[in-house]
Amino acid sequence: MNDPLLRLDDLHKSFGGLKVSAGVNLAVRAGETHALIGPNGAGKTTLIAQIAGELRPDAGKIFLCGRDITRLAAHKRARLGLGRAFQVTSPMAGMTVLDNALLAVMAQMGSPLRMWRPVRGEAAMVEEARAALARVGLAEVEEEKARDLSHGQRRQLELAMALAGRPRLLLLDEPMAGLGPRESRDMVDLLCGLKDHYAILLVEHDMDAVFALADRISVLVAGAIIATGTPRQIRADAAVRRAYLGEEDTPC
Amino acid sequence: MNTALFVTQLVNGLQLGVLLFLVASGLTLVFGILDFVNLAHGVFYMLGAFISASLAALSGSWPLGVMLALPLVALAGAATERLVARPLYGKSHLAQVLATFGLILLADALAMLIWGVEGRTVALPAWLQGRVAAGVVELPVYRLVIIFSGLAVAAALYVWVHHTRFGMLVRAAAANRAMAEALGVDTARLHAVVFILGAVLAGLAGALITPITEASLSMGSDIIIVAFVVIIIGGTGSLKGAFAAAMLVGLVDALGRAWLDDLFKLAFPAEIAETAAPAISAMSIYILMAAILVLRPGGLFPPRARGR
Repeated sequence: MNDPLLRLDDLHKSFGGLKVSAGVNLAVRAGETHALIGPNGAGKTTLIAQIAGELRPDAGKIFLCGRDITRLAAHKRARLGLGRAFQVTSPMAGMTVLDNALLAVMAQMGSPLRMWRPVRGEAAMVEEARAALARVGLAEVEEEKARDLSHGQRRQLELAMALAGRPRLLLLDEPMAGLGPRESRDMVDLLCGLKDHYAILLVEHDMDAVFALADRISVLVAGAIIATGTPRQIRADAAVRRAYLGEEDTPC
Repeated sequence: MNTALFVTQLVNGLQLGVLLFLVASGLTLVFGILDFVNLAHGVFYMLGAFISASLAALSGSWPLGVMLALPLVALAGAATERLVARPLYGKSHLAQVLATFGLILLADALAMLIWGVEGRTVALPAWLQGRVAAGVVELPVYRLVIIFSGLAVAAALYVWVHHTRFGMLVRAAAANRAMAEALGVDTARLHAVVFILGAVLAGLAGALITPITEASLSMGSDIIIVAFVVIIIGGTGSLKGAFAAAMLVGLVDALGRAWLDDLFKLAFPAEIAETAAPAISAMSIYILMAAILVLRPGGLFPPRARGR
Protein backbone atom coordinates (compact mmCIF):
# COMPACT_ATOMS: atom_id res chain seq x y z
CA MET A 1 0.00 0.00 0.00
CA ASN A 2 1.26 3.45 -0.85
CA ASP A 3 2.19 5.85 1.90
CA PRO A 4 -0.40 8.50 2.52
CA LEU A 5 0.60 11.96 1.31
CA LEU A 6 0.63 13.35 4.84
CA ARG A 7 0.72 11.27 7.96
CA LEU A 8 0.65 12.52 11.54
CA ASP A 9 1.87 9.89 13.95
CA ASP A 10 0.90 10.38 17.59
CA LEU A 11 1.61 14.14 17.74
CA HIS A 12 1.84 15.72 21.16
CA LYS A 13 2.15 19.41 21.95
CA SER A 14 1.61 21.17 25.25
CA PHE A 15 1.79 24.81 26.28
CA GLY A 16 2.64 24.69 29.96
CA GLY A 17 0.06 22.37 31.48
CA LEU A 18 -2.32 22.69 28.56
CA LYS A 19 -2.30 19.71 26.20
CA VAL A 20 -3.19 21.13 22.81
CA SER A 21 -2.28 18.07 20.79
CA ALA A 22 -2.77 14.89 22.77
CA GLY A 23 -1.75 12.10 20.44
CA VAL A 24 -3.07 13.17 17.03
CA ASN A 25 -3.10 10.50 14.32
CA LEU A 26 -4.21 11.58 10.87
CA ALA A 27 -3.56 10.53 7.28
CA VAL A 28 -4.32 12.51 4.13
CA ARG A 29 -4.38 10.24 1.08
CA ALA A 30 -3.20 11.25 -2.35
CA GLY A 31 -5.94 13.04 -4.24
CA GLU A 32 -8.40 13.36 -1.41
CA THR A 33 -9.89 16.45 0.17
CA HIS A 34 -9.68 15.86 3.86
CA ALA A 35 -11.49 18.23 6.17
CA LEU A 36 -10.42 18.79 9.74
CA ILE A 37 -13.23 20.06 11.93
CA GLY A 38 -13.65 20.55 15.62
CA PRO A 39 -15.06 22.98 18.14
CA ASN A 40 -13.14 26.15 19.00
CA GLY A 41 -10.19 25.36 21.20
CA ALA A 42 -9.88 21.81 19.89
CA GLY A 43 -6.33 22.52 18.77
CA LYS A 44 -6.80 22.91 15.02
CA THR A 45 -4.59 25.98 14.67
CA THR A 46 -1.80 24.41 16.70
CA LEU A 47 -2.03 21.28 14.58
CA ILE A 48 -1.78 23.27 11.34
CA ALA A 49 1.18 25.19 12.75
CA GLN A 50 2.94 21.89 13.49
CA ILE A 51 2.23 20.54 10.01
CA ALA A 52 3.48 23.74 8.39
CA GLY A 53 6.60 23.83 10.56
CA GLU A 54 5.93 26.93 12.61
CA LEU A 55 5.74 24.87 15.78
CA ARG A 56 7.70 21.79 16.80
CA PRO A 57 5.70 18.95 18.30
CA ASP A 58 6.87 17.75 21.73
CA ALA A 59 6.57 14.15 20.58
CA GLY A 60 5.37 12.23 17.56
CA LYS A 61 6.25 12.40 13.89
CA ILE A 62 5.04 14.05 10.71
CA PHE A 63 5.56 12.38 7.33
CA LEU A 64 5.13 14.01 3.92
CA CYS A 65 5.15 11.44 1.10
CA GLY A 66 6.75 8.95 3.44
CA ARG A 67 9.54 11.32 4.42
CA ASP A 68 9.96 12.33 8.04
CA ILE A 69 9.62 16.14 8.09
CA THR A 70 9.13 16.52 11.85
CA ARG A 71 12.32 18.53 12.31
CA LEU A 72 12.37 20.29 8.94
CA ALA A 73 12.16 24.10 8.72
CA ALA A 74 8.96 25.60 7.31
CA HIS A 75 10.54 26.78 4.05
CA LYS A 76 11.95 23.32 3.34
CA ARG A 77 8.54 21.77 3.85
CA ALA A 78 7.14 24.26 1.38
CA ARG A 79 9.77 23.24 -1.16
CA LEU A 80 8.85 19.58 -0.63
CA GLY A 81 5.33 20.36 -1.74
CA LEU A 82 3.39 21.67 1.21
CA GLY A 83 1.38 24.62 -0.08
CA ARG A 84 -0.23 26.84 2.49
CA ALA A 85 -2.74 29.57 1.79
CA PHE A 86 -1.99 32.58 3.90
CA GLN A 87 -3.93 35.70 4.56
CA VAL A 88 -2.24 38.37 2.49
CA THR A 89 -1.34 41.15 4.88
CA SER A 90 -1.23 44.84 4.23
CA PRO A 91 2.43 45.39 3.22
CA MET A 92 2.35 42.98 0.29
CA ALA A 93 -0.88 44.73 -0.60
CA GLY A 94 1.25 47.43 -2.21
CA MET A 95 2.36 44.98 -4.90
CA THR A 96 0.31 44.01 -7.91
CA VAL A 97 -1.61 40.74 -8.04
CA LEU A 98 0.85 39.38 -10.58
CA ASP A 99 3.87 40.34 -8.48
CA ASN A 100 2.36 38.59 -5.48
CA ALA A 101 1.96 35.44 -7.54
CA LEU A 102 5.50 35.88 -8.90
CA LEU A 103 6.75 36.13 -5.36
CA ALA A 104 5.28 32.71 -4.67
CA VAL A 105 6.91 31.24 -7.78
CA MET A 106 10.26 32.80 -6.87
CA ALA A 107 10.13 31.71 -3.27
CA GLN A 108 10.71 28.12 -4.34
CA MET A 109 13.85 28.87 -6.30
CA GLY A 110 17.00 27.94 -4.48
CA SER A 111 19.58 29.30 -6.90
CA PRO A 112 21.13 32.45 -5.43
CA LEU A 113 22.55 33.63 -8.76
CA ARG A 114 19.18 33.90 -10.45
CA MET A 115 17.96 35.92 -7.51
CA TRP A 116 19.76 39.08 -8.59
CA ARG A 117 17.82 39.31 -11.81
CA PRO A 118 14.95 41.69 -12.45
CA VAL A 119 11.65 40.59 -10.97
CA ARG A 120 9.92 40.02 -14.29
CA GLY A 121 13.03 39.03 -16.20
CA GLU A 122 12.11 35.43 -16.92
CA ALA A 123 9.14 34.67 -19.14
CA ALA A 124 8.71 31.12 -17.82
CA MET A 125 8.25 32.35 -14.28
CA VAL A 126 5.78 35.02 -15.29
CA GLU A 127 3.82 32.39 -17.22
CA GLU A 128 3.72 30.15 -14.19
CA ALA A 129 2.46 32.98 -12.00
CA ARG A 130 -0.18 33.84 -14.60
CA ALA A 131 -1.27 30.21 -14.78
CA ALA A 132 -1.79 30.15 -11.03
CA LEU A 133 -3.86 33.34 -11.24
CA ALA A 134 -5.92 31.91 -14.10
CA ARG A 135 -6.66 28.80 -12.07
CA VAL A 136 -8.33 30.89 -9.36
CA GLY A 137 -9.98 33.31 -11.77
CA LEU A 138 -7.84 36.38 -11.17
CA ALA A 139 -6.26 36.66 -14.62
CA GLU A 140 -8.23 39.79 -15.39
CA VAL A 141 -6.99 41.78 -12.40
CA GLU A 142 -3.29 40.85 -12.52
CA GLU A 143 -2.08 44.44 -12.75
CA GLU A 144 -4.24 45.72 -9.90
CA LYS A 145 -2.71 46.32 -6.50
CA ALA A 146 -3.56 43.58 -4.04
CA ARG A 147 -4.97 46.18 -1.69
CA ASP A 148 -7.63 47.13 -4.24
CA LEU A 149 -9.04 43.61 -4.38
CA SER A 150 -12.30 42.65 -2.71
CA HIS A 151 -12.12 40.40 0.31
CA GLY A 152 -13.11 37.38 -1.73
CA GLN A 153 -10.55 38.15 -4.44
CA ARG A 154 -7.85 38.43 -1.80
CA ARG A 155 -8.70 34.92 -0.66
CA GLN A 156 -8.41 33.80 -4.26
CA LEU A 157 -5.00 35.45 -4.46
CA GLU A 158 -3.85 33.60 -1.36
CA LEU A 159 -4.92 30.41 -3.02
CA ALA A 160 -3.11 31.32 -6.24
CA MET A 161 0.07 31.99 -4.23
CA ALA A 162 -0.19 28.55 -2.64
CA LEU A 163 -0.79 26.98 -6.06
CA ALA A 164 2.12 28.81 -7.66
CA GLY A 165 4.52 26.69 -5.62
CA ARG A 166 3.14 23.55 -7.32
CA PRO A 167 2.16 21.91 -4.06
CA ARG A 168 1.47 18.23 -3.58
CA LEU A 169 -0.71 19.01 -0.61
CA LEU A 170 -2.70 22.20 -0.08
CA LEU A 171 -3.12 23.29 3.49
CA LEU A 172 -6.16 25.55 3.72
CA ASP A 173 -6.83 27.23 7.03
CA GLU A 174 -10.40 28.54 7.10
CA PRO A 175 -10.66 29.76 3.50
CA MET A 176 -14.29 30.78 4.09
CA ALA A 177 -13.64 32.90 7.17
CA GLY A 178 -14.98 36.41 6.78
CA LEU A 179 -16.57 35.77 3.39
CA GLY A 180 -20.16 36.73 2.67
CA PRO A 181 -22.67 34.13 1.46
CA ARG A 182 -22.04 34.78 -2.22
CA GLU A 183 -18.28 34.91 -1.87
CA SER A 184 -18.42 31.68 0.13
CA ARG A 185 -20.32 29.98 -2.67
CA ASP A 186 -17.77 31.20 -5.19
CA MET A 187 -14.94 29.89 -3.01
CA VAL A 188 -16.62 26.49 -2.69
CA ASP A 189 -17.02 26.38 -6.48
CA LEU A 190 -13.39 27.31 -6.89
CA LEU A 191 -12.21 24.65 -4.46
CA CYS A 192 -14.49 22.10 -6.15
CA GLY A 193 -12.58 22.79 -9.34
CA LEU A 194 -9.22 22.40 -7.58
CA LYS A 195 -9.93 19.28 -5.56
CA ASP A 196 -9.51 16.99 -8.55
CA HIS A 197 -5.97 18.26 -9.08
CA TYR A 198 -4.62 18.57 -5.55
CA ALA A 199 -4.78 16.77 -2.26
CA ILE A 200 -6.24 19.22 0.25
CA LEU A 201 -6.27 19.39 4.01
CA LEU A 202 -9.07 21.80 4.81
CA VAL A 203 -9.66 23.34 8.21
CA GLU A 204 -13.04 25.02 8.15
CA HIS A 205 -15.89 26.08 10.38
CA ASP A 206 -18.41 26.44 7.58
CA MET A 207 -20.12 23.05 7.67
CA ASP A 208 -21.92 23.55 4.37
CA ALA A 209 -18.53 24.01 2.70
CA VAL A 210 -17.00 21.06 4.56
CA PHE A 211 -19.76 18.67 3.61
CA ALA A 212 -19.80 19.92 0.05
CA LEU A 213 -16.06 19.52 -0.47
CA ALA A 214 -14.66 16.81 1.78
CA ASP A 215 -14.05 13.23 0.71
CA ARG A 216 -13.24 12.39 4.29
CA ILE A 217 -13.57 14.31 7.53
CA SER A 218 -11.60 14.06 10.75
CA VAL A 219 -13.01 15.46 13.95
CA LEU A 220 -10.60 16.97 16.44
CA VAL A 221 -11.84 17.33 20.00
CA ALA A 222 -9.66 18.31 22.94
CA GLY A 223 -6.44 17.62 21.06
CA ALA A 224 -7.31 14.19 19.70
CA ILE A 225 -9.05 12.84 16.61
CA ILE A 226 -12.25 11.19 17.81
CA ALA A 227 -13.50 10.09 14.39
CA THR A 228 -12.44 9.92 10.75
CA GLY A 229 -14.72 8.95 7.91
CA THR A 230 -16.82 9.98 4.95
CA PRO A 231 -19.22 12.89 5.43
CA ARG A 232 -22.06 10.38 5.72
CA GLN A 233 -20.24 8.40 8.43
CA ILE A 234 -19.35 11.56 10.33
CA ARG A 235 -22.94 12.81 10.25
CA ALA A 236 -24.05 9.48 11.69
CA ASP A 237 -21.31 9.17 14.29
CA ALA A 238 -22.76 9.31 17.78
CA ALA A 239 -19.58 10.52 19.45
CA VAL A 240 -19.20 13.34 16.94
CA ARG A 241 -22.81 14.43 17.37
CA ARG A 242 -22.35 14.49 21.09
CA ALA A 243 -19.03 16.28 21.10
CA TYR A 244 -19.56 18.70 18.31
CA LEU A 245 -22.33 18.74 15.80
CA GLY A 246 -25.06 18.52 18.39
CA GLU A 247 -23.76 21.51 20.28
CA GLU A 248 -25.65 23.92 18.14
CA ASP A 249 -27.84 23.67 15.10
CA THR A 250 -25.74 25.90 12.92
CA PRO A 251 -22.08 25.69 13.88
CA CYS A 252 -20.53 29.13 13.66
CA MET B 1 28.35 85.31 0.42
CA ASN B 2 31.67 83.66 -0.17
CA THR B 3 31.03 81.38 -3.13
CA ALA B 4 34.27 79.45 -2.89
CA LEU B 5 33.66 78.60 0.74
CA PHE B 6 30.08 77.71 -0.05
CA VAL B 7 31.03 75.24 -2.77
CA THR B 8 33.71 73.73 -0.57
CA GLN B 9 31.32 73.27 2.31
CA LEU B 10 28.67 71.92 -0.05
CA VAL B 11 31.10 69.24 -1.20
CA ASN B 12 32.13 68.53 2.38
CA GLY B 13 28.49 68.20 3.33
CA LEU B 14 27.73 65.86 0.44
CA GLN B 15 30.75 63.77 1.27
CA LEU B 16 29.68 63.50 4.91
CA GLY B 17 26.15 62.71 3.75
CA VAL B 18 27.31 59.92 1.48
CA LEU B 19 29.38 58.31 4.23
CA LEU B 20 26.50 58.64 6.66
CA PHE B 21 24.26 56.96 4.12
CA LEU B 22 26.63 54.02 3.76
CA VAL B 23 26.54 53.47 7.51
CA ALA B 24 22.87 54.31 8.01
CA SER B 25 21.58 52.24 5.09
CA GLY B 26 22.78 49.02 6.71
CA LEU B 27 21.47 50.13 10.07
CA THR B 28 18.04 50.95 8.67
CA LEU B 29 17.82 47.74 6.61
CA VAL B 30 18.74 45.62 9.61
CA PHE B 31 16.27 47.51 11.78
CA GLY B 32 13.50 47.66 9.21
CA ILE B 33 13.78 44.17 7.80
CA LEU B 34 15.19 42.14 10.69
CA ASP B 35 13.64 44.29 13.43
CA PHE B 36 17.03 44.21 15.10
CA VAL B 37 18.63 47.20 16.83
CA ASN B 38 22.36 46.97 16.24
CA LEU B 39 24.23 49.44 18.40
CA ALA B 40 27.43 47.70 17.30
CA HIS B 41 26.91 48.64 13.64
CA GLY B 42 29.65 51.26 14.09
CA VAL B 43 32.10 48.44 14.85
CA PHE B 44 32.01 47.44 11.18
CA TYR B 45 32.79 51.04 10.23
CA MET B 46 35.80 50.98 12.56
CA LEU B 47 36.89 47.55 11.34
CA GLY B 48 36.68 48.69 7.73
CA ALA B 49 38.98 51.60 8.61
CA PHE B 50 41.59 49.67 10.62
CA ILE B 51 41.68 46.58 8.42
CA SER B 52 41.98 48.59 5.21
CA ALA B 53 44.69 50.77 6.76
CA SER B 54 46.69 47.73 7.88
CA LEU B 55 46.29 45.93 4.58
CA ALA B 56 47.18 49.11 2.68
CA ALA B 57 50.39 49.33 4.73
CA LEU B 58 51.15 45.64 4.16
CA SER B 59 50.42 45.58 0.45
CA GLY B 60 51.64 49.07 -0.29
CA SER B 61 48.42 49.81 -2.15
CA TRP B 62 45.44 51.53 -0.60
CA PRO B 63 42.85 50.46 -3.17
CA LEU B 64 44.03 46.86 -2.79
CA GLY B 65 43.82 47.23 0.98
CA VAL B 66 40.21 48.39 0.73
CA MET B 67 39.26 45.56 -1.62
CA LEU B 68 40.81 42.97 0.66
CA ALA B 69 39.32 44.54 3.78
CA LEU B 70 35.70 44.26 2.65
CA PRO B 71 35.56 40.43 2.58
CA LEU B 72 37.07 40.42 6.08
CA VAL B 73 34.43 42.85 7.31
CA ALA B 74 31.84 40.59 5.67
CA LEU B 75 33.25 37.70 7.71
CA ALA B 76 33.00 39.76 10.89
CA GLY B 77 29.42 40.60 9.91
CA ALA B 78 28.59 36.95 9.30
CA ALA B 79 30.03 35.92 12.65
CA THR B 80 28.15 38.71 14.43
CA GLU B 81 24.90 37.75 12.73
CA ARG B 82 25.26 34.10 13.58
CA LEU B 83 26.52 34.45 17.14
CA VAL B 84 24.92 37.64 18.45
CA ALA B 85 22.06 38.80 16.26
CA ARG B 86 20.32 35.59 15.19
CA PRO B 87 19.62 34.33 18.72
CA LEU B 88 18.03 37.72 19.46
CA TYR B 89 15.73 38.11 16.43
CA GLY B 90 12.21 38.50 17.72
CA LYS B 91 13.42 39.28 21.23
CA SER B 92 12.96 42.65 22.94
CA HIS B 93 14.87 45.64 21.63
CA LEU B 94 16.34 46.09 25.11
CA ALA B 95 17.95 42.64 24.94
CA GLN B 96 19.35 43.53 21.50
CA VAL B 97 20.67 46.87 22.72
CA LEU B 98 22.37 45.27 25.72
CA ALA B 99 23.94 42.49 23.67
CA THR B 100 25.21 44.78 20.95
CA PHE B 101 26.48 47.31 23.50
CA GLY B 102 28.47 44.46 25.04
CA LEU B 103 29.74 43.69 21.57
CA ILE B 104 31.00 47.26 21.18
CA LEU B 105 33.03 46.94 24.39
CA LEU B 106 34.43 43.62 23.23
CA ALA B 107 35.26 44.90 19.75
CA ASP B 108 36.88 48.07 21.09
CA ALA B 109 39.04 46.04 23.47
CA LEU B 110 40.07 43.66 20.70
CA ALA B 111 40.83 46.54 18.36
CA MET B 112 42.96 48.15 21.06
CA LEU B 113 44.91 44.89 21.50
CA ILE B 114 45.47 44.51 17.77
CA TRP B 115 46.04 48.09 16.66
CA GLY B 116 46.90 49.92 19.90
CA VAL B 117 45.45 53.21 21.09
CA GLU B 118 47.10 55.24 18.37
CA GLY B 119 45.14 55.87 15.23
CA ARG B 120 46.27 54.55 11.85
CA THR B 121 46.72 56.91 8.96
CA VAL B 122 46.90 55.94 5.38
CA ALA B 123 48.29 57.71 2.34
CA LEU B 124 46.30 58.00 -0.84
CA PRO B 125 47.90 56.99 -4.11
CA ALA B 126 49.12 59.96 -6.11
CA TRP B 127 46.29 59.77 -8.65
CA LEU B 128 43.75 60.39 -5.90
CA GLN B 129 45.63 63.24 -4.27
CA GLY B 130 45.08 65.95 -6.85
CA ARG B 131 42.55 68.73 -6.99
CA VAL B 132 40.26 69.64 -9.81
CA ALA B 133 39.15 73.11 -10.74
CA ALA B 134 35.43 73.60 -10.37
CA GLY B 135 34.63 77.18 -11.28
CA VAL B 136 35.76 79.41 -8.44
CA VAL B 137 37.31 76.63 -6.34
CA GLU B 138 39.65 73.69 -6.58
CA LEU B 139 38.15 70.55 -5.10
CA PRO B 140 40.09 67.54 -3.82
CA VAL B 141 39.64 64.66 -6.27
CA TYR B 142 39.29 62.17 -3.47
CA ARG B 143 36.23 63.83 -1.94
CA LEU B 144 34.52 63.69 -5.31
CA VAL B 145 35.47 60.02 -5.58
CA ILE B 146 33.79 59.36 -2.23
CA ILE B 147 30.66 61.21 -3.31
CA PHE B 148 30.33 59.42 -6.61
CA SER B 149 31.08 55.97 -5.25
CA GLY B 150 28.55 56.56 -2.47
CA LEU B 151 25.91 57.66 -4.96
CA ALA B 152 26.64 54.59 -7.07
CA VAL B 153 26.20 52.32 -4.05
CA ALA B 154 22.94 54.08 -3.17
CA ALA B 155 21.60 53.55 -6.69
CA ALA B 156 22.65 49.90 -6.67
CA LEU B 157 20.96 49.35 -3.31
CA TYR B 158 17.76 50.93 -4.56
CA VAL B 159 17.67 48.71 -7.61
CA TRP B 160 18.48 45.68 -5.48
CA VAL B 161 15.69 46.22 -3.00
CA HIS B 162 13.02 47.39 -5.42
CA HIS B 163 13.72 45.63 -8.67
CA THR B 164 15.42 42.29 -8.13
CA ARG B 165 13.91 39.00 -7.04
CA PHE B 166 16.14 38.88 -4.03
CA GLY B 167 14.99 42.32 -2.92
CA MET B 168 11.38 41.31 -3.45
CA LEU B 169 11.82 38.25 -1.24
CA VAL B 170 13.57 40.38 1.36
CA ARG B 171 10.63 42.77 1.40
CA ALA B 172 8.16 39.91 1.58
CA ALA B 173 10.01 38.31 4.46
CA ALA B 174 10.04 41.64 6.28
CA ALA B 175 6.33 42.14 5.72
CA ASN B 176 5.23 38.68 6.78
CA ARG B 177 7.88 36.20 7.77
CA ALA B 178 5.53 33.27 8.36
CA MET B 179 3.95 33.72 4.95
CA ALA B 180 7.32 33.95 3.25
CA GLU B 181 8.46 30.73 4.91
CA ALA B 182 5.23 28.97 4.00
CA LEU B 183 5.91 29.93 0.39
CA GLY B 184 9.36 28.35 0.62
CA VAL B 185 11.59 31.35 1.35
CA ASP B 186 14.67 30.63 3.44
CA THR B 187 14.30 33.67 5.68
CA ALA B 188 17.29 32.80 7.85
CA ARG B 189 19.53 33.07 4.80
CA LEU B 190 17.88 36.29 3.66
CA HIS B 191 18.43 37.80 7.08
CA ALA B 192 22.08 36.80 7.09
CA VAL B 193 22.60 38.35 3.64
CA VAL B 194 20.97 41.63 4.68
CA PHE B 195 23.02 41.80 7.87
CA ILE B 196 26.30 41.06 6.10
CA LEU B 197 25.50 43.56 3.37
CA GLY B 198 24.91 46.22 6.02
CA ALA B 199 28.22 45.37 7.67
CA VAL B 200 30.10 45.62 4.36
CA LEU B 201 28.55 49.01 3.55
CA ALA B 202 29.60 50.35 6.96
CA GLY B 203 33.06 48.84 6.46
CA LEU B 204 33.29 50.54 3.08
CA ALA B 205 32.43 53.89 4.67
CA GLY B 206 35.11 53.35 7.31
CA ALA B 207 37.68 52.45 4.66
CA LEU B 208 36.77 55.48 2.54
CA ILE B 209 37.06 58.01 5.37
CA THR B 210 40.41 56.76 6.67
CA PRO B 211 42.63 58.63 4.16
CA ILE B 212 40.90 61.90 5.18
CA THR B 213 40.88 61.43 8.94
CA GLU B 214 42.42 58.26 10.32
CA ALA B 215 41.36 54.91 11.69
CA SER B 216 40.67 55.40 15.39
CA LEU B 217 39.08 53.51 18.25
CA SER B 218 36.39 56.10 18.85
CA MET B 219 35.23 56.41 15.26
CA GLY B 220 32.59 53.67 15.57
CA SER B 221 30.89 55.26 18.54
CA ASP B 222 31.11 58.69 16.93
CA ILE B 223 29.35 57.66 13.76
CA ILE B 224 26.72 55.35 15.26
CA ILE B 225 24.92 58.14 17.10
CA VAL B 226 24.71 60.28 13.98
CA ALA B 227 23.67 57.21 11.97
CA PHE B 228 20.76 56.67 14.36
CA VAL B 229 19.83 60.35 13.98
CA VAL B 230 19.81 59.76 10.22
CA ILE B 231 17.55 56.72 10.30
CA ILE B 232 15.17 58.40 12.73
CA ILE B 233 14.92 61.49 10.53
CA GLY B 234 14.53 59.33 7.44
CA GLY B 235 11.97 57.00 8.96
CA THR B 236 13.25 53.67 10.26
CA GLY B 237 13.51 50.95 7.65
CA SER B 238 13.36 53.28 4.66
CA LEU B 239 16.32 53.35 2.27
CA LYS B 240 14.99 56.44 0.54
CA GLY B 241 14.56 58.06 3.95
CA ALA B 242 18.08 57.13 4.99
CA PHE B 243 19.43 58.69 1.80
CA ALA B 244 17.48 61.92 2.09
CA ALA B 245 18.24 62.25 5.80
CA ALA B 246 21.95 61.47 5.37
CA MET B 247 22.29 64.21 2.76
CA LEU B 248 20.28 66.63 4.88
CA VAL B 249 22.32 65.91 7.99
CA GLY B 250 25.59 66.15 6.07
CA LEU B 251 24.67 69.50 4.54
CA VAL B 252 23.21 71.00 7.70
CA ASP B 253 26.30 69.99 9.64
CA ALA B 254 28.80 71.31 7.08
CA LEU B 255 26.95 74.52 6.22
CA GLY B 256 26.02 75.14 9.85
CA ARG B 257 29.65 75.02 10.88
CA ALA B 258 30.55 77.60 8.23
CA TRP B 259 27.64 80.03 8.41
CA LEU B 260 25.77 79.76 11.63
CA ASP B 261 27.71 82.64 13.21
CA ASP B 262 26.96 84.88 10.20
CA LEU B 263 23.34 83.92 10.49
CA PHE B 264 23.30 84.66 14.21
CA LYS B 265 24.93 88.04 13.67
CA LEU B 266 21.81 89.10 11.83
CA ALA B 267 19.79 88.70 15.02
CA PHE B 268 22.23 89.01 17.91
CA PRO B 269 25.22 91.15 18.86
CA ALA B 270 28.44 89.89 17.29
CA GLU B 271 29.90 88.80 20.60
CA ILE B 272 26.96 86.58 21.49
CA ALA B 273 26.77 85.20 17.98
CA GLU B 274 30.41 84.18 18.00
CA THR B 275 30.11 82.35 21.32
CA ALA B 276 26.78 80.72 20.60
CA ALA B 277 27.35 79.64 17.01
CA PRO B 278 29.96 76.91 17.57
CA ALA B 279 27.89 75.42 20.39
CA ILE B 280 24.70 75.52 18.38
CA SER B 281 26.31 74.20 15.21
CA ALA B 282 27.51 71.15 17.11
CA MET B 283 23.88 70.57 18.04
CA SER B 284 22.43 71.49 14.67
CA ILE B 285 21.67 67.96 13.53
CA TYR B 286 19.86 67.19 16.77
CA ILE B 287 17.84 70.37 16.45
CA LEU B 288 17.06 69.28 12.89
CA MET B 289 15.93 65.88 14.15
CA ALA B 290 13.73 67.43 16.83
CA ALA B 291 12.16 69.81 14.32
CA ILE B 292 11.45 67.05 11.82
CA LEU B 293 9.99 64.78 14.47
CA VAL B 294 7.64 67.56 15.57
CA LEU B 295 6.41 67.94 11.99
CA ARG B 296 6.55 64.27 11.01
CA PRO B 297 6.74 61.96 14.03
CA GLY B 298 7.46 58.93 11.83
CA GLY B 299 10.34 60.61 10.01
CA LEU B 300 10.45 61.72 6.38
CA PHE B 301 9.42 58.30 5.04
CA PRO B 302 7.54 56.72 7.94
CA PRO B 303 7.41 52.95 8.17
CA ARG B 304 4.08 51.51 7.16
CA ALA B 305 2.28 49.43 9.73
CA ARG B 306 3.93 46.08 9.42
CA GLY B 307 2.34 42.67 9.65
CA ARG B 308 3.81 40.06 11.90
